[in-house]
Amino acid sequence: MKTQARVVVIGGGAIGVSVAYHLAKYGWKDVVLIEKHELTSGSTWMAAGNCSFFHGNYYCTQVNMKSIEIYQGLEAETGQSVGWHTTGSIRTADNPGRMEELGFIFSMNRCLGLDVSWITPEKMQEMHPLMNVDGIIGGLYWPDDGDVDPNGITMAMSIGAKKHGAEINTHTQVTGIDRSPAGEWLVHTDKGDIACEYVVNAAGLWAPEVAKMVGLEIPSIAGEHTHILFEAIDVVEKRDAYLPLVRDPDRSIYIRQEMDSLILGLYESKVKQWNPKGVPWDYAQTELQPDIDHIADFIEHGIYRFPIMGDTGFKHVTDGPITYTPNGDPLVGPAYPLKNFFHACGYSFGITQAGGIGHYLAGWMMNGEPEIDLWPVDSRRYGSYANWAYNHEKIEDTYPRLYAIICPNDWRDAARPNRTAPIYEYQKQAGAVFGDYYGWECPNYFTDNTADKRENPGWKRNNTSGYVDAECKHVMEKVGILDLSRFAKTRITGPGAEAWLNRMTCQKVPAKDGRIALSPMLDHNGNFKSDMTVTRIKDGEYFCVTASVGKRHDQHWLMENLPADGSVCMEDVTYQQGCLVLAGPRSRDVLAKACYDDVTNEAFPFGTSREIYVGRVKCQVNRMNYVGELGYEIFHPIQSQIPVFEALMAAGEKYELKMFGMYAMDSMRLEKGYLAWKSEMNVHHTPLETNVAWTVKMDKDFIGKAGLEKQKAAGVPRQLVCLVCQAEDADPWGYNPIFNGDEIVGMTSSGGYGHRTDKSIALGYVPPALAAPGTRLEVEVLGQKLAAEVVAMPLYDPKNERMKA
Amino acid sequence: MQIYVCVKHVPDTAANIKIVGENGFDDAGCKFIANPYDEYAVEQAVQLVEKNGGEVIVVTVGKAAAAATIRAAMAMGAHRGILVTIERQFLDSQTTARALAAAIQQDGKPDIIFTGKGAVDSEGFQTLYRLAAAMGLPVVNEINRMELADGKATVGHEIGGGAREVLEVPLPCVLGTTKGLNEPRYPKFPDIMKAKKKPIKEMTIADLGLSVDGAQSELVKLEKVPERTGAKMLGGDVRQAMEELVRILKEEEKVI
Repeated sequence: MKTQARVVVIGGGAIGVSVAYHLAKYGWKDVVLIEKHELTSGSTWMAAGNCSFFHGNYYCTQVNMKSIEIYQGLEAETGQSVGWHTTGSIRTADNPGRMEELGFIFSMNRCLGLDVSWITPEKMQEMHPLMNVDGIIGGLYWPDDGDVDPNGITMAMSIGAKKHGAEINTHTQVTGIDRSPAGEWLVHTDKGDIACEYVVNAAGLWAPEVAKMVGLEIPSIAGEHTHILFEAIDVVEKRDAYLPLVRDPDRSIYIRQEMDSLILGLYESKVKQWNPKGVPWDYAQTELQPDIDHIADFIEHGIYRFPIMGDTGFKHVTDGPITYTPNGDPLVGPAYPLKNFFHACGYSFGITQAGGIGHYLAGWMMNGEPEIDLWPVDSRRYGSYANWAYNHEKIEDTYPRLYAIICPNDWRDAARPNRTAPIYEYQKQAGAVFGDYYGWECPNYFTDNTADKRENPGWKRNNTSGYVDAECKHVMEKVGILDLSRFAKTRITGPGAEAWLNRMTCQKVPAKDGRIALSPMLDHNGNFKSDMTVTRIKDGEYFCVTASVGKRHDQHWLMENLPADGSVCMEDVTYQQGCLVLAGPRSRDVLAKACYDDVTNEAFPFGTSREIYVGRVKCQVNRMNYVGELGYEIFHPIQSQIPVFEALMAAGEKYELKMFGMYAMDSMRLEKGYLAWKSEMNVHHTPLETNVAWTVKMDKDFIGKAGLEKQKAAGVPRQLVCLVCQAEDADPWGYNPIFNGDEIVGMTSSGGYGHRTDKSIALGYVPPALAAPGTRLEVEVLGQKLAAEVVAMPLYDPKNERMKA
Repeated sequence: MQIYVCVKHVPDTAANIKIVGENGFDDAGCKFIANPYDEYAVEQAVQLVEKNGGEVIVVTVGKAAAAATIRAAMAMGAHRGILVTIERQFLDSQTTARALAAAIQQDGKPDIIFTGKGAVDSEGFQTLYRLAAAMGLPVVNEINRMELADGKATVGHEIGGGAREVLEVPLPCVLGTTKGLNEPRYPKFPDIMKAKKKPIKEMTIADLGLSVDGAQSELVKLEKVPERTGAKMLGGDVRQAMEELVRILKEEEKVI
């Protein structure tokens, strides 16, 4: 075994082997994989092997697409059969809500150029004669889906990895991980130590244990998953074509052909967590005791859909452990706050993603940035709130819903609350209905507290519209207050702070005290890394605010880039400071009444920041906001939030100050064309494509500049536009294809209803030739094309008169 | 017909056995199944009763968790079960046989008692003989053919060298079943659900007036078989590998 390596991949399941294979294939030397038992002996061995394009997320769908592409080429490359069968797959719907979800998937898949089509129950019956289609109202069909032998792909990729020079060590167990003072990782194993530059935690069931070795707690717990292989079925045996995989998500089951019979897999209503406090190290490739009683209801669902299963014996019931995370998606990418330590774990659908994620993670590690935006699986999407206990409670809710209808506005109650602002009780009393954002409870909207408050989740406008409409109009006409305490806040100080920040952002760091600048950070390719506003407090002291959900992502980026000489100091003040946003034409009156300072437009103009006493509390107030009205972001010590809030509410009484929520904020920011992190701002777009191109200052040096120069030279390929859509009751959400005639010319990045303008709005990227206001295009929403027109941005208050008033 | 089938609850042969202490193993983290040879016994009994009428009763000596194996046998068609519970993981063949005999005698009058040819866990291969002795019945093991006529069973079993012995046994008798006798059916879901409602009579070994003390043999120590090491991979094409293999077997190992 090597004692020195570029990278040590811990874990010899499909995921780890794929990562090692791709790293070696793409040119890294000294790739070493260690596996404590045999390859596949954690969860891979028991996987059903379904490989489909379907995923509720646009980027994860691309990971699946890549897997299928890789698996289909593996045999030719390695000589090892992977048992690929193209079977096609059907996903059924038995209710209108499910049809809407499939509509979203259909439209999103079309953005990716996938072959997907609607299928009637009659056609399903024809394609799968064993199926009872009663109750099904429709479905989607992907002709190119299939299945593989999980062992086959793992072995093939391990052969490929070795061919490209990787070393694969089975029966080699990691026992500890240290970091040398020089910054090198030292991976201890029972066969000796390996010094290396990078570590990948692909330890599957044991990934939490490996994470603990480097001081991390990751939300991944093993649960039992069961699938049943039936004895030979005559009609299956006699067919000469493969039966399609059928997923009936409304019954939480999947069925596929296996040789001369069928496999039924199910996600029952309650997960059986397996060794939740930690999987024993000596577990390997052993079946668990199946519990038929536990899954009986879902076997009945299977028999309902495929009656022949009721007359066919169970040849084998496989029960094995699989990892689950709070939302069922894996934990991938750089591990906060470490350097050169990556996760590739927490997989519940590992076979369908293994090939693709190996490819993308290898690229991420080698190039510093992923080829596609992998935020949906980035381990940093979870903060410290997502600890073991959180996951333990959360997966009780997530597991039975792995096949539930995916709605972007379905806020589940499980494992909440985790973080609350001090004014949480005030919000509740005012009728708040909360969403959780990075663990924080934030009001989505406020009700009168008498009505049925709960949101009916769905893809169409719903019962929240009236509340949100009232909030937007109240902010437009009067004044509202919004809690954004969850903002990630970072204090940057030191003699090198200004120069360093100037390197970190494409914007010029404010040179005057009390000035604020919208300061995007870019990656090395010039694409958006982070949305940030920088306030210069004084020389050598800057206050940086970034999106709450991106806290670990953004601060990790800052930490990684800190100079080694100590000239810049970074302090996370997220949990020390709250933020209340006052917005609306009367906000100045409210602030003036509540504070001891001069807040007239002359004394406190737009785009500046001041230290102000709000009541008795010294606050840092930024005159800017994300809704496009006259407004203020009031940063205050978190322990003084209630006095600040009470002072503002008391002052605001005569101005009818009211709280508003996230939904109103999002509606208003769309109208203003303000970009949202990971919607408009992601690794696929540079600021040059957007309406914040003005933040790019090419007369200085900054990370990403070369990428922008390259893009400028080649011509900016696309442009962010605002589209007003002729929607009836379903607005765009993002990931909608944009059509020019029959041709897909772009995709929406976000969308919704603008209540101040009474318009259905989408933001999206199209070729520059189609970006001129007045251009008529179409946006496909839930499978229906809507007429849409490009309009000048911003749609609301185009001259920014209101916020500068 | 009243047919009793003795079925043992054993760890899955593919299970990763974790030894605990000197002579025990972690049975909570281990998958258990019905002893595979006993499945031929259950299948045979169920087929006979399907043809001739009567009742199939599964008898098991084991820990309380062994009820799962009785349910599995009932999902194959057995009508009811008797579980003689013990607290320990291993019980010697003599005590097991006495417990089975006592439970059967207490329950009714057997026409046939089936067992598997042996159990895949402890592999004592004695229980059925001791059971027959305890009950004063004739016994044939490893049967792979069986016919029933005029109160007699005609059974066949392989005796090695390709020869088969055919024996005639009067009923009641004890028969040990093995592969080839039949194809045990896979349980269907409706049968699994029906099996949940079938009765299991449960009693402790003490209820039968027996004690686990004074066993004729005790399991003293359980050890893992050391993993085989030193496997040598032969390179080259098939012909080269075969020639090398023959050379090693002749010259180094001197076995041919």
